[in-house]
Amino acid sequence: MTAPRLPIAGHRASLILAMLFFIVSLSLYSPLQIWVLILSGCAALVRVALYLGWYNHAPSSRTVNLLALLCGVTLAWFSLDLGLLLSMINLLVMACSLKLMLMTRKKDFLQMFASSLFLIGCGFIFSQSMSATAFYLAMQVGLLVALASLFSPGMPLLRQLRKLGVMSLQALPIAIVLFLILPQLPPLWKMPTAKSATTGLSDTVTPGDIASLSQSDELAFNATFESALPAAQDRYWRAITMEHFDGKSWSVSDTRREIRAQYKLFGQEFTPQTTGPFYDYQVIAEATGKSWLYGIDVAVAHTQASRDYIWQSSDYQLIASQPLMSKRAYRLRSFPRTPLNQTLLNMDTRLNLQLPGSGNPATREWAAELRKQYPDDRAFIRQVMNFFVEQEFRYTLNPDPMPLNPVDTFLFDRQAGFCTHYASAMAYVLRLAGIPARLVTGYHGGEELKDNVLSVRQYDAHAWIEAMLGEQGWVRFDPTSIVSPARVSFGLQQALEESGESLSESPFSGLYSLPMMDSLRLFMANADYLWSRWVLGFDAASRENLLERILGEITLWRLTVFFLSVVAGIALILALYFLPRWQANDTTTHRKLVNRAEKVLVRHTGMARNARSLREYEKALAPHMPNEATVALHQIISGFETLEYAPGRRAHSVSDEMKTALKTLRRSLSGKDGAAASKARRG
Amino acid sequence: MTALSRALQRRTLKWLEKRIPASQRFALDLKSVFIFPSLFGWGFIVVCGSLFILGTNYQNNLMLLLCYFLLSLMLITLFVSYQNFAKLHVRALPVTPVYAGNHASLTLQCQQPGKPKLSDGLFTVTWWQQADGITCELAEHNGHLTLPYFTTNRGLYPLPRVTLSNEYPLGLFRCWTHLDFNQTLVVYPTPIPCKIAFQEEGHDEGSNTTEQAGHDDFFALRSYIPGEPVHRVAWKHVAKGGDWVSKEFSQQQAKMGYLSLPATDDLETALSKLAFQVITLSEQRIAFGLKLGRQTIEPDSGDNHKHRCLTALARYAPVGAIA
Repeated sequence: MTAPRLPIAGHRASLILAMLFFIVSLSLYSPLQIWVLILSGCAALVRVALYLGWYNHAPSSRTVNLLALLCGVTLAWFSLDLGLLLSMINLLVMACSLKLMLMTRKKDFLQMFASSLFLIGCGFIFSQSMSATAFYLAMQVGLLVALASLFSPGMPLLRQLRKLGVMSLQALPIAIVLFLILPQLPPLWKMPTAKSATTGLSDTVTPGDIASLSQSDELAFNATFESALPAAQDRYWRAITMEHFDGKSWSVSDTRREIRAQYKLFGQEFTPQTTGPFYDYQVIAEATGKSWLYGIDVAVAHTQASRDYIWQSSDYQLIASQPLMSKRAYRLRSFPRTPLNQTLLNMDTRLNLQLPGSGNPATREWAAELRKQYPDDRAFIRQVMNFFVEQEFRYTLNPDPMPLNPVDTFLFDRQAGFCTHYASAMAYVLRLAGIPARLVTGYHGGEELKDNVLSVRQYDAHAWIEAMLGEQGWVRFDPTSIVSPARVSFGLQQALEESGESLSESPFSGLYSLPMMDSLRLFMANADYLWSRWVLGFDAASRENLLERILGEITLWRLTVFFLSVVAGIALILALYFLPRWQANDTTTHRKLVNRAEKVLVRHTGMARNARSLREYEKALAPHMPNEATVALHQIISGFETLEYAPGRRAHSVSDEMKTALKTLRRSLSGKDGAAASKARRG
Repeated sequence: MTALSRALQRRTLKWLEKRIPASQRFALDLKSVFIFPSLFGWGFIVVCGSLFILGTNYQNNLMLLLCYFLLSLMLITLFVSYQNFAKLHVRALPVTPVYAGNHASLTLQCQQPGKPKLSDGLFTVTWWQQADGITCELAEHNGHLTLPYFTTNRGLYPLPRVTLSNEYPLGLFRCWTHLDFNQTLVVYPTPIPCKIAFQEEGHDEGSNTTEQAGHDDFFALRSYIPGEPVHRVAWKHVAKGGDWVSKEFSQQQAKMGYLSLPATDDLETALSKLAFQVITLSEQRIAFGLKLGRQTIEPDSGDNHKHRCLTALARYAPVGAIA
């Protein structure tokens, strides 16, 4: 088959495709390079020019090849920085743009269509919110319209849209059934991921810096518990352990990174021995661009899919197999009573007694003195906590910057700060006293979205410490809870109200306090949660639950029957869509009307039509019917003849006239005269 | 290889003969419609497969949903595509004879009276196993499709099967059928201008030939009948926006005689010349007969007679040549 050429000027399908391609590339602005975006804009412009007839020829392939070479070299240059995934997406958009300029054949068009479809799929890597889904859905429909225009160019756009809409609506239930019952496979291989802007917690914590994290009310994650929520003061979501302190900042220890790399190299994973009570929950984490995950206390992956996704480090930190580029759901089981003493305690001790060489002299002196008084570890820690209370430390989100010797400044000078100040100072003091201690950052608390759902926002970010107490292993201490009990029991908002500060200083903060806005916000949060939970968070475990709910106990036999019945169900849906129309078309309105009239006549006059033509039948009936009925019958018959043999524009009004005439006929025949006529006939 | 493919074709045609017997009109049904994913349809499946792999590897439910949606849409398209195609009622209008070298055209009427709904989408109509054909939407021409058939030699040609195909609505499936409309095309010999070798009745054979000068008396205008020589169309009338009409001429002659095939080596040229004479004599309304080998057509005049003679010329085969 030779590939037919497409018309150039005024070709609707090409124009729609070009526009949609451009809009989809615009929506991918974050992964795309700016010059690739410009290129796709140029390609769209070329199509517009061709459509309007400003040019009659697509650019020659030599020009475009030259451009392709140029772009290829540029992309190769940038690809070192971009990483594999972004390079591939840039490459795809670039190639499509160039193809779009050259699109002259049907084959090119179909290739462009398939690529655009794939591009929409790629869009879901970067955004899975409800609005993005709606947007890509619209793009999808548009693409299908373009495709349909190619195969039926003469059909008006609206009719095309309607037909596609019907088809899409028909396809949707089948797609949903497939989605619900088809097993979801684990990842087949590791995909490349993108480097991109990161949000949320950061790798390093510098208490002397200004507080910026707490101001944001962006969602960090939602957690759906299968049992009751844990108590408010126990909701310590661990995310990152920081074991290196340089006098100002805490960060993840290089040694720890090496240990993880070695573990991964040998395919090993730390699996804590879990004991005691536990509870299960699903976390739907928002995109962070980083690979740490959140879990309460000692948490282990609960389902196979989550086990594949999560790698546990020997500092009880959960690490995702790839950075969170979009929302991601995983299931955990937490053991709040399991002690954190199963790791190599020697190694942990060595790592967490590390001290910066110099700085903070006052603290050093004070710690040494205090240690002399309290040689017992527990007593010492209690004394440090007491210090915060006795000295009347203050909780504030807007502490003064402490650039020099921050711990000294904080402990003995300012005595006001937020969680990281307290945690950092305390961990440092413990290390000075020879007690291994580390900083843990994560979130604390969360808003109850529903009975069993916690919604944790960025302002719930928190830092606390873990100290090693001999055989007990790592024990959590939260100095902030001593200073501001409200922070831990009731959340940040309450804590700030007590200290006379407000959370956000944006001009809209007043707006949020309106009751209507608040309920709207809650509604949006709820909708977003439901979307995340049921669409994005639907995983193998949810599918199993669903099957169990339908089938009861899952056995092979029941499963087979179920799948067969699903297939039969889909066949039934299809039959429902398509079968009746094969027959319904046969009886048009006017034929139905004549049939109905015939029935009425037979009932009232007792004369069957048999094989007579309508006109003959009319003649035979005329003497036995009242005048009114004869006229009505005549009207019906002539209407039928018009519609059957010479249908025209007035078809609607003619059939309406027939309907009125049928009514008249029925009324006059069922009246006295009609009864008399029929009696006369029988007599 | 060619022998093999030819044998294969013969088998296919035989099978088709059984499955879709020849007829003047067809209402398409499950037996006569073939449907299979087009090349693009397979490509579409590949794209769905890539989306599935992408969605699985990123554990991305929306990608999986998109993939399942596209596959379901394809399933729906299968039925829509078939339904649209099976709506077709095809009837072939009688094919008019042509002179060799001109193209004949088979006109298909794809609308059933009383059912105003036409099938949607671009239809491609080709002759059996031919790549080139016409592509158009039914609504453009009120459900009429005209397929040209190119002729080179005179003779009787049973028209091959016509392949109708359609990829509505999304090009994922190709519906097609091969229909045999049971039509035979008569291709007349190409007229070659020559002298009229007309043997008048009553005269001795070959003794007297009458020369007919081409000057005709214009007689009347009548509406154009498709298949008539184009040079008889009254172009002036058409150019003014009128209907197609032909000029009719009359010749006030009442001669009677026979045209006959001269003994010659170049049979085709002789037949072509005869064809020219038949046409000329008919235009001049001269009654004539035709002697072709053993076959003799009695003298007569008029359009029917002309076509009878030309058909005889078209199908003439010398006795020796048949064996």
